[in-house]
Order: sequence, then C-alpha cells, then structure tokens
Amino acid sequence: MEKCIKIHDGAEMHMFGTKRKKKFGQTSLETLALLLVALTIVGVSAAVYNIFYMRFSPVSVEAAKVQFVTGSDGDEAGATIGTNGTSVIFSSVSGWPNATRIYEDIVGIKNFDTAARTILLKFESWSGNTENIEYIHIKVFDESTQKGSTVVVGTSGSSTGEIEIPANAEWRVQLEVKWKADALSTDQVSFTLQLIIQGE
Amino acid sequence: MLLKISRTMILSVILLCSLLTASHAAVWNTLRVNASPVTAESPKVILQPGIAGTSIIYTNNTSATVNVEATCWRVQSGISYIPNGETYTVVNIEPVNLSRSFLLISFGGGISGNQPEQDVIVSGRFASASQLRFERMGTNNPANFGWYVIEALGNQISVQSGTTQFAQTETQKDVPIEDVGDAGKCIVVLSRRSTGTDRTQYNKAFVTGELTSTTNLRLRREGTGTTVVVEWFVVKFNDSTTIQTGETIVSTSNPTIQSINPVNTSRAWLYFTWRATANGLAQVSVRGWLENAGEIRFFRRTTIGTCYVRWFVIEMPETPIKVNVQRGFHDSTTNNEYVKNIKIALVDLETAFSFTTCDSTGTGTAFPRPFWVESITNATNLRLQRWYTGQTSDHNWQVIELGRAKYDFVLKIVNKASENWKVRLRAYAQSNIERLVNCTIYFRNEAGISNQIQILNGAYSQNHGDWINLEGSGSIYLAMKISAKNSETTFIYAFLEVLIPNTLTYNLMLIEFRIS
Repeated sequence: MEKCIKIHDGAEMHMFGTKRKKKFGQTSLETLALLLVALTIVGVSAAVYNIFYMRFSPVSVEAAKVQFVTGSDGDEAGATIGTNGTSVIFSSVSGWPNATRIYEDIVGIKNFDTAARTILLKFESWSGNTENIEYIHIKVFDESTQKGSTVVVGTSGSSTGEIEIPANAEWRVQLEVKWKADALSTDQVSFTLQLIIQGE
Repeated sequence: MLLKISRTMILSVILLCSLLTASHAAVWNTLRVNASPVTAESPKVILQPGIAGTSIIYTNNTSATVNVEATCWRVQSGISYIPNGETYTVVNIEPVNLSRSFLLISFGGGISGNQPEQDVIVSGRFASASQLRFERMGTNNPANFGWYVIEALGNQISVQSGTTQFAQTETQKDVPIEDVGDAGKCIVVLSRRSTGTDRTQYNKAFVTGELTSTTNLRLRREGTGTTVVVEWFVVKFNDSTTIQTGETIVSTSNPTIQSINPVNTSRAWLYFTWRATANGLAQVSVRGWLENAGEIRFFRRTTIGTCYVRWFVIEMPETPIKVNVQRGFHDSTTNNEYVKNIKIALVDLETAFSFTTCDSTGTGTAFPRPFWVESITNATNLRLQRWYTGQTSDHNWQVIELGRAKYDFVLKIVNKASENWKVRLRAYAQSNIERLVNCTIYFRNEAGISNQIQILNGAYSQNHGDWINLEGSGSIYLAMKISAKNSETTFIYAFLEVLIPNTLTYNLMLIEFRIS
C-alpha cells in the first residue's frame, strides 16, 4: 500500500513514491520570485554599456597668455588687477554731470605670448541708475589707433569685435563716461565687461 | 555578432571626432572687467557767464554756449616810393573787396631840397582788387608816400571811387555818383596829383570834397593854372556810425574853433581835406583835432590867406566792436628833424590806421618841408618822416584802431577745489570758419594771456592750446578777438579739457562758440 501524507486538501506529496500536495500561498511566492528574476534579466539587458575611458593627466595651471596690466589712469580709477592678471575691478570711476570724463589708459591688455591672439571685449551687464547715464564708452587703442569698435555699455551684445593683438603687444583701454545733466551726486552704476581670449 | 561590434566601433570613432572638433573651436578664456561703482560727482571746475557777448551756462555749469559778433575790418598798410624817372608805381596787396575799401595817403617828397608839386604830391587808387597804383605828374627824384587800405569785411560801409581831373581853368567839379541814399552817412576821402612845375602853386593842389546831394560829389580848389587829378572815395557808413560834416574857414584866428554835436571821443575820429587861397608852407599847412566831445580846433602858424576845411567827424558804434581812437599832439622844437617817433598804446596792426595833420613855420615856398609820411611801424609806434628839413611842424595825430571784435570776458572758469588743476581748450568741430579772417580764443588772467585756438584766413593755425594752471580756488577768463569777412555765422565746438591733478585723467566740458 502506497503511503500518502496529506498536506492540504486536494494536494498530495509523494515521498519516494510518496506524493505530497502543495499549498496555494507557496505557489504565489514562487511566481513572484520568478517574475523578479525575469525583470532583473530584462533590466540588465537594457543597461548594457560599453565604457571607454578619457584620461586627463595632468590638468595643469598655466599663466594666462593675455592679461590685464596696469594703466596710467588706473590709480585714479581705483583699478585692482586680480592675481595673475585675469580680472580687474575699478572702484572709483566717476564723472561730472554733463561733462565727459576720459580715462585714456584705465587698464592695459598685454599679450605675453609669442604668437598673436584674438581677443574680444564685450559688454556683459550693468545695474544702478543707468537711466542717468548719457553714455559709457570703452575703446581699445594701440597707442593712438583705435582697435575694433567702441563698446557701448548698456547695449546688449556691444563689443569690440574680434581683434588680433600681436605677440608681446600692450594695448590701452580708454573709458569715457558722461552723466546726464540732471544726474545727482548720489547716482551710481556698476557694469561688467568680458575680455574673451581665443585659442589658448 | 560581427555586425554588432562594427557598429559600436563606428559610433565610437564618430563621437571621438566630434569631441576633437569641438575642443579646437571653442577654447576661450574669459576675463572680467568690473567697474563698481561708477559715480556722479559734483564738478570741481565750473563755467560761469561772462560780461562780453552773450553766454549761456547749462545745468551743473559744465557746458556753455557763447554768442559773439565778429569784427568786420581789416587794414593793410605800408610805405613806398615812386622811383626817380617814373610817374607811378604799383604796390601789391592782399585782395580786397573794392566796394568796401578805401585808401588813405600821405606823401613827403624825395630829396633834401626844394621840389615842385608835380614831383612831390602823390595820388593813389586801386588798380585792381590786389594792386594799388600811386601816381604823380613829374618824374624827378623819388616820391615817398605812405598808405592805408581800410577794408570793411562786412557790409558796414559801401564805397564808390573814381578819378576826376581839374583842368587848368577849373576850380570846381561836380561828379555824378550813384545814389548813396543818405548823404549824411558819407565821408569823402581824397588824394591828388598836380602839374605844377614850380613851388609857387602848391596851394592850388589842395582840394576838398563834399556831397551836395545823394548823387553829386563836389570837388573844389582855390585858384587855377595847374591841372590837378583827384582820386576820390565816397564812403557810406551803413551801420550806426554817425557822421558830422561841415566847412570851416581857418584864417586869422588861431586856433579856429568849430562846435559840433557831442561825440564820444574814444570812438570818434576827425578826417578833413582843405583848400588854400595862399601859397606858402604855413599858409597851406593846417592841423586839426578833436579838442573835446563838442569841439574841433584848427590851427595854422600864419594868418595869411585862408584855408577852407571840409571836416568829417566819424563817431563809430560802440558795438559790436568798439573802435579805439588814440590822439595826441607832438610839437617840434628843432627844424632839422627828419623823423618823429610817437609812442602809442598797443594797437592791433591789422585793424589800425593813422590820420595826422601838421602846421608849419615859414611862409616861403621851401616845399616839401611840411609834408610828412605817416606809418604805424609797430604796435606801439607811430612814425612821421619827411625828407626835407628846415622848418618845424607841430602835429596832431590820431591812431584809429577799428579793432577786431574783442571780448575780454566771455566766460569765467572757476576752480572750486583747493588744489591746482590744469585746463586747455581744444576745437573738435566747426562750420563755416572759412569766413573768419582772424579769430583768437584765449585764456586771460593776471599773469597774462594764452592763445588756445587760432584761425587765420579761414583755417586753423592752432586748434588747441597749452595746459594752463588753474590755481586752487582761482579763476581765469576766456576771451576772444575775431574778425570776419562777411555777416554769416560760424560755429566752433570746443572742449575745455580739465586735467585732474597729478593724473592723466581729464574731463571734457563742451563750449559752443557761435560767431555771427
């Protein structure tokens, strides 16, 4: 006689010829596990990457080829040239209402490289009592020859255009500011320019 | 499988190439310039209005407009001679407008000895706009003369001129002229030459000129027997110049006093011609002067004969250009003087001329002793010269400086700061400067003057000046002298450059000069 153990109703397990019946919850867990395995397999299949390596070694620090250098009007304008000559801040530029203040050499731009460089000086932003500014003009000169166009502060996109500064040349930047006649001594503006140097 | 690997390789190559291209094109370094803050501050140097011309100062006293009027006179002058053997000579001058120019002449003979009138008396006229022709009747010995060409660069005068001859028998000539409109605004300026071959008829060569109507010029002399050719100019003043004229008999009274309506003697001058009834040094030599605002005086050293003096008192307007008349008396104590140098106050040679008359001692006929050539030899000297000495002459001289328009104080430049600043003027634009004959814009203070902008004959000879020190809390004046050749308008745009102490930074203050 075949020995039979009843596991649950309707199920039988056979041991060595003995049949054992599975319960319903046990089957669901197995199905879930199977589903997870299947999903895992599908996911792994979607994230198959081929990895190539780009290696930067070393990323070095080098001296800027084109730098700001001190201009003869820099002191009057409160010029502070940043470390390495890569930025300059003017803290005391001023003007009289209805008169044009000229800083002929507010800062210099020098190409320290042995090759010519293309540069571009460009208006970036301004703020403050801009409505009382008649104009602020920035011009770049090689001695008495203006290079490129006049940068009109306050005009979006205004720039010198691309200009090529020869190797070892030093140019001067001229700032012209004119306040409107009814400007007050409390009025002030701030502005930022970008000096963009190509191809270092 | 092989296909899959190939695809991967191609894709990798494309990506790497793209990366390389991008890297090459877009390597930029951006440096930054920050100005923070840019402030407005009260001006340290300001402009203030002047008292000459009309100036407008704009808000904050940092810009201005100056309105002035230009002078419209130019004087050319010189001395020369007709050579021995010649009856005439020509002198080249800068071209003039003949309808606005007239000629004044003095003569003085040529040798230290007696000479007849045909060799001594010199007339002058315009041969062309750029040439003067001086003539005499005789040819013996040189004939020295001096001349002034007085030209209105504007329309303040209109000039008619001509040549009229007295036949030997004539004592009066009526010459038709174009209608001058108002005879009371005219003067008549004369020179002449004569055929007299000895020294007994000099008086017959003295001629007067007057307008008897708006269309008639009357020329007169005393006595007949010589042929006299007169070069005449009828000068009509179109501006507010006032003319007084009359004929005064100078005979036995010395001086002879002629009353006139009061004039401002600083801008009034006397011109006269005369005719003489008697021959002789003293007889024909009459000097005259403005004694005061209401009186002319005439003087001779004799009571023999009569001189009929046709006089004109020309009182010129105060504006736009104030004429400056200097006058004086220069006596002579020795009879061997050839030259008298008379110190005068500084004049502008380009707008100054002289008119001098003299008496003479001696009633004989040792001509040309009383005839002197006058010339302004430099800005402070009037020179009288003769070539034959023997008698003394006292002179009444006048130096008339028509003047360039001179504005001593069109703007004041004030330094409000305690430290010294430097200023200079720079012209940067203009219109119609071609009409300016001479224009000088200059700084003036106690230390002197500094020419900043100068225009000569329609072009810049100097468009900016030297830096001038503007003392702390001090001021300087901006002044102008201008002459122009017409009545148009000129604009000069200039910057007053104000240099910040101990820097190379400067301010530009706009000044507009409007010259009408």
